[in-house]
Amino acid sequence: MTFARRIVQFSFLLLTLVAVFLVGGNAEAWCPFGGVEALYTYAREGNLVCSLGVSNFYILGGVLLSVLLLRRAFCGYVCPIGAISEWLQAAARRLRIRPRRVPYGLDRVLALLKYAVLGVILYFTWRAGELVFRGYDPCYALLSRHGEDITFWAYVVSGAILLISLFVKVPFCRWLCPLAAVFTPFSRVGLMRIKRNPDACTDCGACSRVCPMGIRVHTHANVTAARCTACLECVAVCPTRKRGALTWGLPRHLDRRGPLAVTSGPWPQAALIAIMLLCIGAAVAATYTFPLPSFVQTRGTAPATTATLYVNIEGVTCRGSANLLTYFLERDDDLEIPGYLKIEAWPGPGASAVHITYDPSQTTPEAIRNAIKQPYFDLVINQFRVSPFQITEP
Amino acid sequence: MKLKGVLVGLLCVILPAASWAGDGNGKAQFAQGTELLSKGDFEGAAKAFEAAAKAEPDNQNYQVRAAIVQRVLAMRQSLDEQTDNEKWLNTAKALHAFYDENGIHDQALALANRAHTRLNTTETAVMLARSRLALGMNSEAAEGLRGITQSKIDAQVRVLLGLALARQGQKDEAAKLLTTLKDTAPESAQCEFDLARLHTLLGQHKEATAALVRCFETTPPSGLDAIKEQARTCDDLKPLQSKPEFKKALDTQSKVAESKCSKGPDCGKCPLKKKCQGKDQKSHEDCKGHGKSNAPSKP
Repeated sequence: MTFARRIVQFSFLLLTLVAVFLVGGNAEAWCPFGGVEALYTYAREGNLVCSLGVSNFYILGGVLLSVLLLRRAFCGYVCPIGAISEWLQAAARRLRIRPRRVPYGLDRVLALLKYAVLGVILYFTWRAGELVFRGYDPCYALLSRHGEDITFWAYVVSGAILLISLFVKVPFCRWLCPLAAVFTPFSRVGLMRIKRNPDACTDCGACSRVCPMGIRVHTHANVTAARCTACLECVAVCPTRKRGALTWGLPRHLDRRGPLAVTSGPWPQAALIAIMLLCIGAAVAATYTFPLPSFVQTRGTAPATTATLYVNIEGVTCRGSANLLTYFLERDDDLEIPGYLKIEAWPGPGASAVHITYDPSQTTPEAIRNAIKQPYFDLVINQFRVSPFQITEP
Repeated sequence: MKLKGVLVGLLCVILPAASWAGDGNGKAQFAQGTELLSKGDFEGAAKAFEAAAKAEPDNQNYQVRAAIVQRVLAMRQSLDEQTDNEKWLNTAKALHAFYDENGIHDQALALANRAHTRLNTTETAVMLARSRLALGMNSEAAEGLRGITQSKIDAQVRVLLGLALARQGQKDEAAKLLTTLKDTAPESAQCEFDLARLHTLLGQHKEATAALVRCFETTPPSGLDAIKEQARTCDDLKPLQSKPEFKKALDTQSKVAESKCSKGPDCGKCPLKKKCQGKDQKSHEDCKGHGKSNAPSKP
């Protein structure tokens, strides 16, 4: 079971690294926590904070669905930080570094830290409408192209987490991860679970010792702990699993020993991975099937008849530059575009899609193109501002 | 072996020469454009800048210059066709600032005259006075400013009038004008800059430095380098330029937010960040080119 999980973890990490370092993709646009960070600004203004896309919402939706079905399986199978922490722990064992056991009470207290981390991040991010903690983010430090906005502290935090991971099982996932705090209410009511049969269980405690999240499996009849990552290590290690001491599946089937209650073999994990991939795949498909714009600005009331200009524009890379595009389109000089105007943009690297809806009785596509391209005299600083935008037709 | 040596030698000569020739093409055309522009030949300058930009497509300076001069050409044409007075004035202000910046003061004066004849406002009178001062027509500038109705006289008018008088040697009268400024405090960076010039001409270096500091503090970050360069090269400020307090004043940072996106690589340190987020959208819209010009034009 561990081997299959490692394969999945490695595949996702490899996919991320290839996407970021070889393809030059923006990993942040696929981070489910980005969806949480962008939620407030998007709901209030219809715009996303820089570097994030609507993909963040879809992936957040897909992952939350997986949490409702499989609890925090995302943490145990997909998240690169979880994977790296676990690999370090495995490496430490090979180096004969004995993992330190954190007392249960202390573990529970430390687990509260993640809510504080979540609270602080959301408060400052929502207040500023900007990824203010990006420069300190260990995930960003590990999986970005080390942009100039990464601070020294990001490496300190990453280094500390990696170092502690050698001695303590997955410390970031257990105590600090803000996404885990978001998952908790959903995971608490998660569908799939592990059931312990006290009649078959010998109370050996092997399941509790092997659990990376520190759950005391052998003391529960049903493992409904929100922090369960469905790694199924406990099931795999159980000496009496064939007698049904530990089973994983749907609650009704667990009670009646139905076909969806499984104790061994590759099927539990295969099913779990399939569900996980379905959830994430659906989110990715939704991103491309329903590509909602991540930047929307409207001026005036739409007339009865409107027309839309579809263009790709180089230079619309983030919300700031999309705002600049809006300023060029809303210029008040001789190239002014009168009447209704709606700008929908998908900011990103390279040429970004922009849809400009206008009143055809008042302006023309050529006038719009001119407004985008031509320098604009800024009366405030008494200087010309040259357009950084290049229009390429879709 | 010999052939190899000859080839290497040729390469050593050809490559730097080709590189030098490539640089020279754009450079010569850019210099030609600048010269034509200073003579007021806009069409010729636009063509030369365009050629320089084509010769060196990676030279950002050439691209920007070519785009701006093309736009100026279009604006000069649109000025004749514009019927909306507000838009006409905005176009005239843009052209006036461009002429000033490039030392085309005769064209700036002609345009200011045209603007004042068409609109006859305090703003156009100030524009005209500024052009006259740039050409050393101090008495005409003073005369024009004195013609402004008493009720419409603001701090900017008083400072420019003081400047015109001080340049003509009427320093007592100019100093007297300064005392009336207490009632109408300067409102813009432009006015503070002119005030610094006036104080300098009156030998009041401490006050001049303080006005310069206020000017820099009230200029948006993207306009700061340009105004500091103006301070370094302004003739009226010459007696101040060698003083250590002047050099210290040049270190002053802007205390006002940008009016528009600063076009940085990302929003990381952008002073507009909060405004981009829509927190202060109203005030952002207020200053979006509709408000008073905040930064100084070329003295």
